[in-house]
Amino acid sequence: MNIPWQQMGGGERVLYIAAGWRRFLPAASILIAGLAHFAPIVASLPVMPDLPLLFLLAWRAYRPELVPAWAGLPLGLAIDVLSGYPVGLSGTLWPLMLMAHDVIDRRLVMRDARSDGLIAALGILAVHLGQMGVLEWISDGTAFSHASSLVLIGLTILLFPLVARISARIERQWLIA
Amino acid sequence: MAQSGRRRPGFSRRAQFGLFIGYVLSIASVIAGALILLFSRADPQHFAVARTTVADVAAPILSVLRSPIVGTERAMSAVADYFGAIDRNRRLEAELTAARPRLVKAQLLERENKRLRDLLSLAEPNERRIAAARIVTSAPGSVVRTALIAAGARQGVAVGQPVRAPAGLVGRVIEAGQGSARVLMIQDSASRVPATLVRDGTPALVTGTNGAYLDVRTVITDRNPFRAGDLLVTSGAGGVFPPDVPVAVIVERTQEGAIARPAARPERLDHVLIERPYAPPPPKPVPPPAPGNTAP
Repeated sequence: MNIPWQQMGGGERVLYIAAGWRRFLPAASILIAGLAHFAPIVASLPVMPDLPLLFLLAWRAYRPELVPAWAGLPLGLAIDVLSGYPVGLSGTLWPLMLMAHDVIDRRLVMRDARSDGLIAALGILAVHLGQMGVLEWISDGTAFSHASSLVLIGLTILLFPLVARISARIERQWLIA
Repeated sequence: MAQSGRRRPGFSRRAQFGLFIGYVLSIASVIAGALILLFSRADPQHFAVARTTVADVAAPILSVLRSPIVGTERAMSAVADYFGAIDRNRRLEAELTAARPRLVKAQLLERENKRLRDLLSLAEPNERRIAAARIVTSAPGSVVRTALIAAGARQGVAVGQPVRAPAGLVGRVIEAGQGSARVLMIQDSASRVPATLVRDGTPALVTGTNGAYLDVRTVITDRNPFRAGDLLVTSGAGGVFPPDVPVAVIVERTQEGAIARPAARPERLDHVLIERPYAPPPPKPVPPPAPGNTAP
């Protein structure tokens, strides 16, 4: 497979490029999780945990090179469009969160499941508080039901191990050569 | 597991450059995101095309997917109806007995009202209904409370139209695609509905909180007229929502106003009606052409 690009035939080049599809698995799983916002549920409370953010954090924990900080922008914008947030909300907060994650990673000496979970919890909390702050700014400061949002944040944090397992399974299945 | 490298690029120029590019890209993406957010704050319609396209694709699929869920919910509530049926029956009979004299009075009032209107030859408002549509989903995870309905520009739905269910007000249309539309529900914190307290006609403003309950404030500040159980209906002020549609029922009074629950319970919604705005907004004034800018 290590033929130089110049010496490849056309078909080989196509195959070489196509073999890179696995790099887009994290993005694909985040976007599919974003479709959960279209779940045919009509509820009086926000009940759906933030699955796309969970997948982003899980992938960031396993394969940081596949979700660089700048990837937060296109992914966040796509999620904004899918879920009906003001466009640019996740598009701003996700790359910010990923950059902060990079800084924390550089400081850490050891990493294990517990520290990953803790970092993910901090990330979820930061992003959701940021969302609330920005939304209050956009709607010119209205009363916001923080209680229901906090319940949702807690639920999202508790779901992290499960989502981490799902993305670990995807990684084992397709990403480990 | 010990941290795997990648933090110090070593002496390789190329690796250092790659790291630098990474930083630049990250910061640039945050700035780009913030700019886009500013755009969408200035004009939420900026990115409506992308959203409505996605919604147009999703709405028909979802409305099919939702029908078994609705069926199950109905079956569940049919079973639940059997529990406590006797108690409820007695209570309802008592309520009916109490309400019958009022009904007679209401009929008399209605007749009198009609006679007086005929005397004044007031025109009844004409048919305002534009479409009836299935409510497809209500963005269950978001910090934004919007719902998707399976009717769009093809059915005559346009931005700004009020949406109601038989039980009460649901919200208003904020984005309309070809075959789907997004409704800002009254639970959203960006929603404000001018309302009237039915008991004494006090004007009030109903604001969403993004939670299950609504926030009610009076325009009058020196007293708190709300009582638990009070019904609020739309006042028609502002011109979007037609008057006399139930909005909310007061649950509890607070320091500054009251907490209310929506009259149309969102989890019971199935089909909604899209109506014409009560008084359509005046046409935008045409700006006078600036001299010098009109050259082709």
